Amino acid sequence: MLNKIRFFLFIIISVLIITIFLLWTSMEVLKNGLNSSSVAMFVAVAILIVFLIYAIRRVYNSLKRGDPLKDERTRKIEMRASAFSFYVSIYWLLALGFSIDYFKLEIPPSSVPGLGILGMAIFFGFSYWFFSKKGE
Amino acid sequence: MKNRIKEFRIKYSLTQEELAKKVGVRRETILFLEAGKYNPSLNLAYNVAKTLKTTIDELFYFQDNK
Repeated sequence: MLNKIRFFLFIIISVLIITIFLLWTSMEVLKNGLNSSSVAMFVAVAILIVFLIYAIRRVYNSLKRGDPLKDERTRKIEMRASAFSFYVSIYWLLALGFSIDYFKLEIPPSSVPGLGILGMAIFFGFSYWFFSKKGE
Repeated sequence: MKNRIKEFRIKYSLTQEELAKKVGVRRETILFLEAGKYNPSLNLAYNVAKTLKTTIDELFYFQDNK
């Protein structure tokens, strides 16, 4: 029962995340038109959607098999992936700031935190996938 | 660190899924344990050993010891 509640909560949060990012990128396109940065944002959101679909499928299959959603290995992977994505996203934000100044990218300042979070989510997805394939 | 989980699991005619259910972990965890790609906590090692009716030192060993 608890697993089912967790699964539905996970789906609700995933749908919310996808909706927020899709709305945000759509608003950016409507405001600034279709340019390279908006295309990059769409690609990033698409990668995030792929990861969320993969995660939902994984959770659904576990629920169907009666497996626990989390165990000590997945918790370890989550912790390592979180730490790694946090660490990398610091450099991602620095690189973003540098790119905006150096390449004169037309990204509104209000979008920078959103891009930072989006980048962190993508790094988390990649590192979770990598550590779960690696074993530990 | 190496282990003899597969050997003991086959001895008791258990599938990875059945062992995972008995121990309370995901099937992939047993898969990675058997492959020697995951070092379990002492708690998990104890539970696996208990389920396979053996001891931790029988189940897990370092390659230079055997």
